[in-house]
Amino acid sequence: MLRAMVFTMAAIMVGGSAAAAEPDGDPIARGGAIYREHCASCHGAEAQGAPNWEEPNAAGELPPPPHGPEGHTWRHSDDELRHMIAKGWRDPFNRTQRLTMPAFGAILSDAEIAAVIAYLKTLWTDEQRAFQARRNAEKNAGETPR
Amino acid sequence: MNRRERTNRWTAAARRLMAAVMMMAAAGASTATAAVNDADPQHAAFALVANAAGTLFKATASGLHRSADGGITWTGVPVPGSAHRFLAVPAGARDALYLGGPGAGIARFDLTTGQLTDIGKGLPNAELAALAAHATQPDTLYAVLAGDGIWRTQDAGKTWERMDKRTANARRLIHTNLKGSMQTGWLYAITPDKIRLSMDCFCLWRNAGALPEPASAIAFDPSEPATMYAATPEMVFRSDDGGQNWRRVSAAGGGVVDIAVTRTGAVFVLMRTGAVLRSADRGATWEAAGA
Repeated sequence: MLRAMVFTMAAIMVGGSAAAAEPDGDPIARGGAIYREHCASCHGAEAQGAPNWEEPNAAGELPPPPHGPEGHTWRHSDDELRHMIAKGWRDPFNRTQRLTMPAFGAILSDAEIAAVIAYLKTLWTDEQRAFQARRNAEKNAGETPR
Repeated sequence: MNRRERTNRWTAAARRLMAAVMMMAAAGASTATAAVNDADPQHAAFALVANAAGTLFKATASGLHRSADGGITWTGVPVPGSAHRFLAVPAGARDALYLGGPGAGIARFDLTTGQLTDIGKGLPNAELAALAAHATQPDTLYAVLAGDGIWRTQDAGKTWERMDKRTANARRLIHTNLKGSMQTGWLYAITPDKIRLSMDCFCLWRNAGALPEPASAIAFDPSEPATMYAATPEMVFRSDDGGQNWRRVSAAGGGVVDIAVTRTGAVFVLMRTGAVLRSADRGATWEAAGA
C-alpha cells in the first residue's frame, strides 16, 4: 500500500507520467539504486548517517545526517528536498569553502532526484509522512516562502 | 561649555552612575533579589520587548507597561485578565502584542482597541513555558508548552501544530531572520544548561557557543541578526556570529531577566527589580533608562 502511494506521488512529482517517472519499473527500487550509487557513501548504506551527525566538527561542518525516523529529512517538503539535492546546501556556520551538502543537479536528472525522494519516504514513519505531506501542502499554498 | 551642556553632562553621568549602582547591587545580591522576588511577587519583572517603532513594553507583576521614549518614562497599559509573563511582537506590528503565561495560555492584545483575544484554544493546554514571534511573518508564532514541545501557528492562532518534542525543556525561545536557513529563519532556545539553535524547519538542533553559566535571556539585533546578546546571572555577552562565539561585554548581568534590541541597535535590559537599563554602544556601557 505504502509503496503504491509513494509510487503515485513520485509519478505526480515528475509530471504525472509513470512511464516518464521510472522507465525501469518500480520508482522506489530505482530510487534505492540511485541512493546506493550516489548518496550511500556519505549517508550510509542503510541511510544511518555519519556518527555524531548532530555535532559540527572543528571546522563547523555538519556530518551527513541519517534519513530515517531519527533524522530530519522528513521535516522538509519535496520542493526543499529537490532543491537541496540539485543545488546543494551550505550551512552558514560552516567555516570551510565546501558545501555542507554537495550539489547533484549536474549528475542526476529531475526524475532521478524524484525517485530518490520517493525512496527516502519509505524510511519514515506514518506520522512523519503525514507531517511531510503537510509541509508539501503549505509549500503549494505558498505559506512558507523560502 | 555652557550651563546647558554642563547640565546634560551631569545628567548623563548621574544616569551612568545610577546604572552602575543598580548593576552592582543586582550582581552582588542576585540571590537576595531573587529571594525577594520569590517572596514578594509584586517586585517581579518578566519580559521586555521592542516593537517596529522602537516602543518598549515590559511585563512585570504589576502589569504591562509601555515606553515610547527609550525607557525614560513608562505608562501602564490596562490589560484584562491575569499578569502575563511572556511578550512577543508580531513582525512589523506597532499596534499589537502577543501575551502569555504559565496557565494563562496565549492572547493577542490590540493596543488600539484594548481588546484581548484568546488565540491558544488550539493548544492542548495552557502551560506556556516560552513564546516567540516569527521575525518576519506577523501571523507566525511559536509556543513552548512545558514538557510537551514547541507548537507553531502560521495563522495567528487559528490553528496550531506541534513541530518539535525534543526541546520541550526550553524556557526562552526567539526566532531570528539570520540568513542561511533552509526555510525562513532560525530558532534559539534557552534550555536549563545551554543555548540550542535550529533552522525553523526544526531540522537540526545543535548547541550554540558555550556560556560560563546557564543563560537567563537572549535577544538579537533585528537590523543585524548575526549580532546577538545573552545574559547569565552575572554577565551580559554579545555574539557577532549568530551565537557561535560569545564574549563578555559587561559585568552588568546581575539580575537581568530579559533583553530587547531596537532596529536602531539600542540594547535594553530588564532587571529583576523592573528597572530598565540602556546601552547605545552594543553593551559596553549602560545607563539607567527608567523604572
